[in-house]
Amino acid sequence: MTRPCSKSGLKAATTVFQASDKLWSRWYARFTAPSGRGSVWLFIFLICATRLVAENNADLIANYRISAKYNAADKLLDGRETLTWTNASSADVSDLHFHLYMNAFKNEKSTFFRESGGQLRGDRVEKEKSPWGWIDIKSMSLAGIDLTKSIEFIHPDDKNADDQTVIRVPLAKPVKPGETIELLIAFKTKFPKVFARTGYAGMFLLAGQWFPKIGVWEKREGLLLIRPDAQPDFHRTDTFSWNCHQFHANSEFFADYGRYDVDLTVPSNEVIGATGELVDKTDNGATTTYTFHQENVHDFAWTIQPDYIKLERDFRADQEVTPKELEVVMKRHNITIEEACLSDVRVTLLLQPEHANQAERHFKAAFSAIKWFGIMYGHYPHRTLTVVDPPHNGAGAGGMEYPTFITAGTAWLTSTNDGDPEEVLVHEFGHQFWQGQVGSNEFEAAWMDEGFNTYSTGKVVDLVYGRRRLSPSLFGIPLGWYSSTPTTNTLEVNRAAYIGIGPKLDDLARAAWQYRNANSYGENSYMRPALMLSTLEGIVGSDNMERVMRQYQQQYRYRHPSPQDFIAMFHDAPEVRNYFEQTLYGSNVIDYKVDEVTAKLVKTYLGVFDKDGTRITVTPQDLENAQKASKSKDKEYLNTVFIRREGEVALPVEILITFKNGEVVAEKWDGAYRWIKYEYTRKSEIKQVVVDPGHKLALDVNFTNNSWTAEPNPSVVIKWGSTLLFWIQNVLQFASMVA
Amino acid sequence: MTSFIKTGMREIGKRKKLIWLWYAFNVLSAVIIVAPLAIAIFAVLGTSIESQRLFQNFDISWVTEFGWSAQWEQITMWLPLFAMAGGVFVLLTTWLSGGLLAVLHDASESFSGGCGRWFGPFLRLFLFALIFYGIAFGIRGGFAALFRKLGEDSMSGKPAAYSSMANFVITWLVFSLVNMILDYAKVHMVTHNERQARRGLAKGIRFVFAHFRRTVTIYLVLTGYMLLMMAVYHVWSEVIGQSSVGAVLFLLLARQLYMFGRTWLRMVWLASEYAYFASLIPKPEPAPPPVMPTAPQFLENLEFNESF
Repeated sequence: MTRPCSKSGLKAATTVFQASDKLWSRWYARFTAPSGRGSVWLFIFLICATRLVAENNADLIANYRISAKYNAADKLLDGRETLTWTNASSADVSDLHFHLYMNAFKNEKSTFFRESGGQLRGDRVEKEKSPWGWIDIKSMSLAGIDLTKSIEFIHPDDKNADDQTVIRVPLAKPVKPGETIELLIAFKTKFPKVFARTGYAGMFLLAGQWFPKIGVWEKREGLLLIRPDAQPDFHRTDTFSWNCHQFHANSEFFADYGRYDVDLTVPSNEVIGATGELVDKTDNGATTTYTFHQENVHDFAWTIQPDYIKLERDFRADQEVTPKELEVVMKRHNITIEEACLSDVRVTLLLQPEHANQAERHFKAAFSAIKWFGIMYGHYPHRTLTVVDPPHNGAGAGGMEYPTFITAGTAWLTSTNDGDPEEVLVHEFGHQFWQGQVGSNEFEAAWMDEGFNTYSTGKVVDLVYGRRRLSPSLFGIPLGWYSSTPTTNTLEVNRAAYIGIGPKLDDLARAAWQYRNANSYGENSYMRPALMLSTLEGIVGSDNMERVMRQYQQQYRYRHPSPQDFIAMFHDAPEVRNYFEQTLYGSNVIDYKVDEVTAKLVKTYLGVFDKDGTRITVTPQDLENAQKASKSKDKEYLNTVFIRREGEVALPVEILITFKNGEVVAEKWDGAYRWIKYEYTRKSEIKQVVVDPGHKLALDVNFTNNSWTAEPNPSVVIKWGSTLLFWIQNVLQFASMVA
Repeated sequence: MTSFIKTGMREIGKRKKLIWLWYAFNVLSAVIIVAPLAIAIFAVLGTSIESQRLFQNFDISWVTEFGWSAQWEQITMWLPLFAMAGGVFVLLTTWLSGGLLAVLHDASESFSGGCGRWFGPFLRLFLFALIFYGIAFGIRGGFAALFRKLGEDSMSGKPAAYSSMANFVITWLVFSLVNMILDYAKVHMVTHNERQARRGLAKGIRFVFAHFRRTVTIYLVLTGYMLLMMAVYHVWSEVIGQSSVGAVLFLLLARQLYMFGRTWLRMVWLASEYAYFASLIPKPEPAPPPVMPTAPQFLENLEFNESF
C-alpha cells in the first residue's frame, strides 16, 4: 500500500497542486469514491503536501549572521555578528539589553559561580587548571554610530556588581515600533573547560551561549499569577521592558526566534556538527569554513572533535509511522491528515569512538522521539537533528538541548535497557517541542519546559522501552550484567524525586534561581510539574489531556506563552483552575487516607417500639432469643468507612469499597471537608477500601495509606523480613572476617 | 595446599556443634537488627493493599513509598542499636575463634575455656590490627586518587572504568593481606601460648611474609570456594525468585543454607590456616624406648636357694 507522507507523495503533490482547481476536484472525487478505496492513502499524502506549503513560521525578531574563526590551541574564537532586530512592540526602545552568557565562567565572583559553587550537573570546575571562559565585545555599532563605549554591565536579578553576563546599550535614537535595526558586533570568546553545558574537554568542544545575544523585549506578563503575592519580583505590567536575566546556576535560557546564518572556520581535521543545515563548505587548507543556516529557532550551538564517528540516517516518516497510527491521531484530535503527518528528518549522530557499538541505541531513541513527539504534538518542523555524544571528560556538556541540536550522554560500559542513553536523548529531543518550539521562559517558569518535557518524555519512554532497569556500576561494571536489578518507570522516578527531595521545599512556580537549592530546582522544574500534569490528566481524562496538550503546542509554537496561557487552555473546566491554584502556586500536598474501617453486627434494640400501629416491647429475653435464633449467614453488619484528607489540597477523589460477598460500591468525594464517613448496612463485611484506585492523583504524597484490606498477606512480611535478615547476615559475616 | 584445606575441613567436620553455635550467633545478631525493621515493615504494611503491592518487588517505589510512610528518620533512630548488634557479633566471633583454635591445637582443651582464655588477647590483637586496616584504607584511598587523576582528563571512559576495577582488586588484596596476617597471628598466639597481642601480630607478619606463596595460595583457594558459593547462591536466587509463597519459603531455606555454608567456610578458613601453620612447627623427637637398667653384677651372681 502506498504510505502517506512519503517523499514521492509530496513530490507528486507539488505537481498536482500546480494543476487547476478542476483537476483538484477530479482527484478528490476519485479518491473519495468507494471504488478508489485502495488509493485513499495516495490522496491522503497529497493532502500532506499542503501542510508543508502552509507551514507556520515564527516572527523572526532576532536574526543573526555570524562569522567566527576558532583557534583550537587557545580555545579562542574571534567573531563578527550582524544582528538584525525588529521592534515588534508598540513602544519605543531606547536601549538594548544583551546576554553575555560566557562571562558566567569568567571568575568566581559571577552570579553563576556564586550560586553553583563551581559544581553543577554532576560535574565540578577544576580551578587549578585555569578553566575560565569569557566573552568580550570588541566593538558594537548601529548605523555607523559606535556604541562600544556606552556599554554597561547591569545586574537585574541580584545586584551582583561583579556579574558581567548582561549588558545594557543605550541608543542615541530610540527604535520605533515596527522598525528594524542592524547592529554590527565584533566579539572574542574564550571557551571554558566544560563543566556546565559549554566549553572544551581535550579535543572536544561544545560551543553553546558563545555569542552576544539580545534579550526579549516584551510585556512582563510572563508570570501572571493567580496569587499576585506569590512572587513579588514579577508582576504583570502593561508596559514593555527587557526580559534579560543574568546567567544563573539553576536556569537555562530565553530568546526571541530568528534566522541564523553562521560561518564557522575551524581546523580542517575537525568533524563538525551544528544547529541547522550545512549549506556550504570551503576548504582553506589548514582550516575549513562551514556555513550553517536555520530559521525559526532561538539559539545556535555547535561542536567539533577530530575523531567523532559521524553517522547519518534519514527518519522517513512514511516508513516510521503506520497508516493506522495516523488514523488514530486524526480521530483523537479531530484533525486532518495534513496536520497528522510527520516529516522526514536527517539525523546526524556524532559519536565517541568507544561508543561505536551504541549507535543503534542512539538512532532508535532519536527515531522513537521524532515519531512519538510528532504523533502527540505535531510534526518536528526542522529538516535536521544533530545528536552529540560528549566524551567522558566532557560529560558536563551532556544532556542539553539547542534548536535541532542536542547532546546525550552514555558510558563505555552500559547495561541493556538501563535507560541511558535513551532516556536522556528522548528528553533532550523533547525540548525541541517544549522550549524549542513553544518558547516558554526558562528563567521565570522552568517548569513550563522541563516539567512539560519530563511529562512528555515519560510517555514516550514508557511506551517504547517499558520498565527500565536501574543499573548502577559496581567497581566499574554495570550491576545489570550479572544481576537482575530493580526496574522502574516514569511515574515511580518522578514520585521518588518529589517525595524524596521534599514536597514542601518550595512553591512549584518560582523563578529558576529562586528555589532553595539545586535539588529543589530539579524537583520543582522537572518531576513535580510532570506529576502535576499526570494528576491533571487523571482529573480531565487522558483523551482530553492529549487534545489540550497538542492544541497548546500548536497554538503557541514560536511564541512565548505564560503559565496563564496554559491554564487558559482549560477555560471550559473551572475545576482545573482551582486545581492549578492549589498545586502550582503553593507547596501544599495531596494526601488522602483510609482512616478507619469498622463492621459491627446490627444489634436488636431494647425498648418499646411502634410498628405498623402495634406497640412492641423488646425485652432482654427477646434479645437473647433473637441472637440464638440468628444464623451466621443472616447476620447484618453496619460497615463504617472514614476517609480523611491529610493534605491541604482538596480535590475530588474516587473511592472503591469491596465487600466480602463481592459487592462493589464506587463513591466520589469532593474532598472539600477534612473527612467523610460512609455507612453501609449489608449482610457482608467490607473486604477492602481503595481511595483513588487508578492512582489518578499522581501528586498524592502517600500511596500506602490509600487502601485498606481486611485480609493482609503475611507472606510479604516473611519475604522482606527474610531478605533483610539475609542481607544483614552477610554484612555481619563479612564484618566478622576482619576481627 | 589443598591438603591443609582438607585437614581444616576434616577438623571442622568433627565439630558440628561449633558450626551450629557460630551460625546461631550470626542469626541472632541479625535478628536483633532486623526485628525493628521488620516491625516497621509490618506496621507500614498493616492493612494497606498498596504496601503489599509495593513489597512484591524491590524497586525504587518501594524505597520511596516505604520511606515516606515509615519515615526513614524513625528508622535511623535505630542505627546505634544496629551498630551495637554488629559490634557484638564481631566480638562474639573473636571469642569463638579463640575457642576454635584452642581445640584445634589441643583437642583435650575445653572449647569454652579456650574462648575465654583467648578473648582478651585476640581483642587486643584486633585493636592493633585496626591500625593496619587504617593503613590499608589509606593505600586504597591513595590508589583511588591516583586512578582518578589518571582518568579525569581522559576523553575515554575506559581508564575510569579500568581504574574502578583495579581499585577494587587492590582494595581487596590489601584488606585480605591484613586479614590473613591477623589470622596467622591468632594461630601463632594459640600454638605458642603467646598472650601478648603485639608480639603475636609481629609473628603473624613475619610468618606470612616468610611463607608468602603458600599462605596466599591457601587464602586464594578459600576465597575461590567463597566466590563459588556466592555464585551458586546467586544463580539459585535468580532462578527461584520470590513470586509465590512456596518460592519465598524455598529461598528462605536456600539463603540460610548458604549462610550456614559461609559460617562453615569461615571456620574451615581458620582451621586450614592452623593446619598449615602447625605443619611447620618442628615436632619434638619421639622419646627413645626406655632402656631397662642392667642388673647389678651382684644380682646376677646371686644364687637363690630353692628353699629361699
